[in-house]
Amino acid sequence: MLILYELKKQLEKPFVWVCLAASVLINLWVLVSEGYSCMKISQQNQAVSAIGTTLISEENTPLLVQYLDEEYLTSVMRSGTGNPAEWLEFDIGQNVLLYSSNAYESGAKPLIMEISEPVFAERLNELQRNGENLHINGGEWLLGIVIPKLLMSISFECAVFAVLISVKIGGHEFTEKTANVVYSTKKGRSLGARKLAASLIAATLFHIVLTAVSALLLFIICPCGNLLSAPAFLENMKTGNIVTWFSMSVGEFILANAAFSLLLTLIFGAFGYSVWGMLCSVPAAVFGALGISTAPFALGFFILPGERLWRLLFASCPTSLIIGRAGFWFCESRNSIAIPGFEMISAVLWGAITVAVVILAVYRLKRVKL
Amino acid sequence: MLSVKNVTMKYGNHTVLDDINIDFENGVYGLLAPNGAGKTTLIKLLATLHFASSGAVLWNGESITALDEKYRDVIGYLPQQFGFYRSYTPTAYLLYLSALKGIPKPAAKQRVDKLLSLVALSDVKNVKMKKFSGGMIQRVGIAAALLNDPKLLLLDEPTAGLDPKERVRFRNIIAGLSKDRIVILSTHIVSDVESIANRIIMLQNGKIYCNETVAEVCGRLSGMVYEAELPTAETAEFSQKHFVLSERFEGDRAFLRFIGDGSEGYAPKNAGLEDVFLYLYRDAEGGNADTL
Ligand SMILES: Nc1ncnc2c1ncn2[C@@H]1O[C@H](COP(=O)(O)OP(=O)(O)O)[C@@H](O)[C@H]1O
Ligand SMILES: [Mg+2]
Repeated sequence: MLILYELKKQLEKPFVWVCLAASVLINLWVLVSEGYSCMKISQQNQAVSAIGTTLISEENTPLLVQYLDEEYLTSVMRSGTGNPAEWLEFDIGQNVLLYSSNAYESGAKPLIMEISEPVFAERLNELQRNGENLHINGGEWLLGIVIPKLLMSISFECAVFAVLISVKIGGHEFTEKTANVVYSTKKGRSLGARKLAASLIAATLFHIVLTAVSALLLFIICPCGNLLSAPAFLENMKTGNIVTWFSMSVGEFILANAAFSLLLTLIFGAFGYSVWGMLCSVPAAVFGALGISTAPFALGFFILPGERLWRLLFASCPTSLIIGRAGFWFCESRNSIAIPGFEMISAVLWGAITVAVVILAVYRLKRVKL
Repeated sequence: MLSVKNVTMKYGNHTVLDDINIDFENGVYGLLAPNGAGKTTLIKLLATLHFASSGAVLWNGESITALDEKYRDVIGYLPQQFGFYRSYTPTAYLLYLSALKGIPKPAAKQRVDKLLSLVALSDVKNVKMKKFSGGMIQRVGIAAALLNDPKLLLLDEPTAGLDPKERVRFRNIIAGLSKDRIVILSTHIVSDVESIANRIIMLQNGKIYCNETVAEVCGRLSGMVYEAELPTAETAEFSQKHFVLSERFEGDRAFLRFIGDGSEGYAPKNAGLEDVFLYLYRDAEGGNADTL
């Protein structure tokens, strides 16, 4: 009985539907942008990768392209010099070194890219036959590639932080100020399992909607294959599996997205319920609030490889946060209601975590390939 | 039945309740103190929403934290400030709370109907609560507190927002309920408790100042309250010399109740609860007061 009430309470909040809309939009953005470039490539039948196009086609921003093996790379790095005339045949699976002329002169670390597309390899071979050397100017490299990429990456963080804050504010008993009433009833303190179950049901419903809308729209806009064959991450095709550990189709992406957020919420929700709910200590409550709400998110940051996998994470964030709301409840219902300024403390901690994550993301982006 | 044993409650360095002891038996207790004295803090402690910094609260000899669900099953709590689900009707809201209180659905339906008519909300029982006035919400809250027929009823400023007619009605409801349960009613309004409370508890500097019947409380000022009848023009001068409790004007005559020693020949009066309240908390800011 109570579980139905909890489900009703969850689904009644406009905020929850806003989250669903956000999820749909982020998912669509990921899928459509990938699907769109996928369609363009298949239409033009000219699979020049996005990064290749940017760097190669702009004649006034020459780029130095050179084939390198690991050993040669280290020697270049050590001496700060290299012989750009050493052109070789470019082949699939080879590492290519891209660096600006400034960077070349100063001995700064170049970018390494793996050639994974035949067309790209052909284009490089063609450049070599024509005896062309491409140079990219350092400033343009920074303005044209690095900064937009960084900004994009940071805007993800901001979006997620906004979602976190609003989820906190959207915590049911918190916004409605019903905590006093609910927690002083017989079953009011043991609602956790029901709230968690209701959250999982709600999230499952949402994922069904999400999947249906995403799939439908994607294949209306970009008819470039079917659900199971269209690649979800085109960059994996261009540059090897830098996005995910393995290539994913759109269908797999949607499934992974759903499974991922459900799994994480289940783990952290259940963990929070069984452990933090019982430990009546203030640090445990604060840790619980932080853990449940940020762990799925932080976990992804530290464990999962590939810049673009964030998108998968971010896309699943709003929904997993809806379910994560069960977590706030544990903390509210236990000791934390006796901590003055509890809401402020957790908001500040979240802020700090987000800042740390932004710094990490910038650091990562500087180090890893673009 | 309910005993508060050596309870101290602190917010940081600020001690709100300082080593207090109270035993409650069936009957109505009026918890009377100015704003900020710690009434809400005490009631939240009894509702298990706060945890005492030290000391314990016992229900029939057992700690309320150990009793957990069993204890919360016997309490009914009306918070001073409480939220409600705005899109719910009072019926749906009370049914949800019944489920939280573990009342089976058929019994809950009857109970909800009965309580809604008790608080005179029967005709709006299917209207969404976002359309309700403050007084109506307060009455829904009172009904919610009564759902499980509690053995311990905690009412924190229950008459706030009620109009005079509703106040009288509320007082009658409480008077009718007080026979076989403990009712603890906090207020800073003397008339709320004067006629219905079996005992008055006053808090002062975080301690229990008194836990007595109304007559006993009033006895503390016996022989000290006088009434002077003066021309209106002389009230200012009189007020400077005496501690005036209250003033009443009729035409150009003023009637002043004040604390005196009888040496000036004014007529002695019976002290009322309000006189005690005004005298005890005469310098009160945030619940500090002098002892009588
Ligand atoms: N959560 C809190 N944190 C810090 N101080 C508090 C908190 N709640 C109440 N207080 C302080 O405790 C004192 C008693 O408050 P309260 O119990 O609400 O008084 P009352 O209900 O009698 O008006 C006040 O001085 C108030 O400022
Ligand atoms: Mg209060």
